[in-house]
Amino acid sequence: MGEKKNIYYARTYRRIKIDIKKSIIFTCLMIIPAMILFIANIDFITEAMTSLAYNVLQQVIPAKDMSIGTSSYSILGKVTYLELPTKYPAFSTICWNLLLCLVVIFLLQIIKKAGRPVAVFVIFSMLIHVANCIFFILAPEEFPYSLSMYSDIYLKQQLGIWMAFILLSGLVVGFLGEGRYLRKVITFFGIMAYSAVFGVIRYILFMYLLYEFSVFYMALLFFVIGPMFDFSYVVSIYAIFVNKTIKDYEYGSKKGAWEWS
Amino acid sequence: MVVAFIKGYMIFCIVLVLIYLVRHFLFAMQRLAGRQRLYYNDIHSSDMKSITVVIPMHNEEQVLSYVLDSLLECDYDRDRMEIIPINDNSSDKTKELLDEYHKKYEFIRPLHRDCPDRGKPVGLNDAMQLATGEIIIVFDADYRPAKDMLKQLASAFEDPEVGAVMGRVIPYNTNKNMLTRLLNLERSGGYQVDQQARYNLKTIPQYGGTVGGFRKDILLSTGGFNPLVLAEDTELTYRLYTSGWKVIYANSAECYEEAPETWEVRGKQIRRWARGHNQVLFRYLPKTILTKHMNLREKLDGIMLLFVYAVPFFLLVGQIASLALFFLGEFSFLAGWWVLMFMAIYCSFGNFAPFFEIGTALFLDGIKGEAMLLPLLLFNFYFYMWNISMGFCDAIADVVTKRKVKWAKTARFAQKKA
Repeated sequence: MGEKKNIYYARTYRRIKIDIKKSIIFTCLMIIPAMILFIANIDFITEAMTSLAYNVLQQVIPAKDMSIGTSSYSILGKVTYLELPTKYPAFSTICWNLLLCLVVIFLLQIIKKAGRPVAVFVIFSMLIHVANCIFFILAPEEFPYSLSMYSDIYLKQQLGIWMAFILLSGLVVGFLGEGRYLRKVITFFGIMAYSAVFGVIRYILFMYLLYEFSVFYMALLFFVIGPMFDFSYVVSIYAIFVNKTIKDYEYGSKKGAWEWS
Repeated sequence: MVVAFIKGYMIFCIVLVLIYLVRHFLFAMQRLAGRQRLYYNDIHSSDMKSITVVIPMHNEEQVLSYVLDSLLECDYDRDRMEIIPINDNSSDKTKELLDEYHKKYEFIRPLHRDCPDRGKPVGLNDAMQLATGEIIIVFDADYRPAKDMLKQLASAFEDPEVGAVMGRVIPYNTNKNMLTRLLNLERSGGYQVDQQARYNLKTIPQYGGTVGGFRKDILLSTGGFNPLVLAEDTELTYRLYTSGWKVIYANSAECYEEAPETWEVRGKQIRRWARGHNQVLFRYLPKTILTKHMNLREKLDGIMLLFVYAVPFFLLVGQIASLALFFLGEFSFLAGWWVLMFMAIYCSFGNFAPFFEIGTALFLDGIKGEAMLLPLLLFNFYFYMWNISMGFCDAIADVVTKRKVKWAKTARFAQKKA
């Protein structure tokens, strides 16, 4: 019989001792100032985003087509957004899109990949676009949004996502593992920094795509590359954090911190 | 009017998901740092309970020798145990192989069923008629129990309040492919955190139909398993709780199973689970609310557990509702403050074991590296939402048409033992 090289701690009933008061205070110290700072600067944040988007898009969109608008964001301040002319799709574009979606759905079914998660995700996305195509075929004049309206709503939604992330990331990193505050703070601000960069790039990209290829793609972009994609990088950064914490408690300085009770 | 209704429905979805989010967060925190309720590990009775190990089988020639050989290695008085493998209408060599075992070991007594009503509940009912043990312990044919498993599971029944016990399930084929690795994460979250936290909090640890046991007399006195219910395990959990018994979770009783290795098999499995679980929801929701045998805490968790396989269907309808709101010009409803709520929806999917719950489980299990797979669980959301919703619809059709359910076996992947 082979000899065990390592005897690991029993995992069955182990737990870590958390100083709840300390963890709550630390979590609050991350979340509350970040939230206050964020809310107090909403005007500046959207202004900066819009200004950046304006400057970038100036390279590809004539300046006469762009302007800057403002709207109220409840009691939290004002949102500055990019105003762009609305372009509607040609009938042939809608038909080609519809056909393409149906072909993709059909192919995914016959090549027996429909059972796989990515295939199911693609089929869901295609079905959303099919619904969109049908809407534009039947009642294109009823489409309720202009590109400027979308631009305004996008920024408001992004602000909502950021507020949610401040709360969520604080909660999920604040209590896992004792100490390691620097790592927690880095993870917390890492999520926020990534989110800020991603949110701005996506805003510029969406505005460009919808300006260039029409508001026909608005539903697809929102429902497929919308909040779900934001959530994917939160989970990714959280996964790195969890992995580091596991290493600490299995092989590192925290190895003796487990309790059994 | 229509818009108001759809908005109302969206608010319902948001509230529902927030409730589950809080539940999962509480479970994760409790398991991570709360006091752990131990199992009955230190009970050493000189008079072990007489047990009957029952193994439902349908065409299991590939795997049956693993489970039987593992059971033969188990540390339990041979004169206090018997093994009844249920050969349920097999068309392969299951019968011959079981008869060979019977020749070698008298206490392995196969039950050969050759009748039209195939299925786990009816098979278990027949086996219970033959069983001499007072405790029935169930394993699926692809399981590999550890040496002390039977002792561990049987010891819980020294407590007269215990009606059933459930052990921990761990996949052994985790390195086979991406699916089995992801299932390992889900199982870790489901048992190490979810089941143990419910046991700690004295709510509803669930009997899972395998790696577990129950008192035979309770089942026999209440008419046995209902063949119209696919999730006989969930049904038993609620039958026990609504009549004053407890279910115990044994986190230390670890048993290895074969996780599905293809998405097609996993899809069918989860759809069947959803169908069975929702059949139990329809039958036991009023009983759970009205019973005098459960306290408020058990009722609350019991109700939430009953709805676990209904929530994805509600979310699917929610997705359609959000698309409708988009085209109705109510997009602003989805923006701003509401996103706070919508993010909660996204936070709580992933086979209903939210990401921090699975992250916590991986931390407690010390599984390094695998945490990096967490983001991939996002793609499972649509896969599970679709298959579970189909299972929910199946369950509704079962109620409406009163049709008889057909038992389907999960395909096996292990190579036959040489």
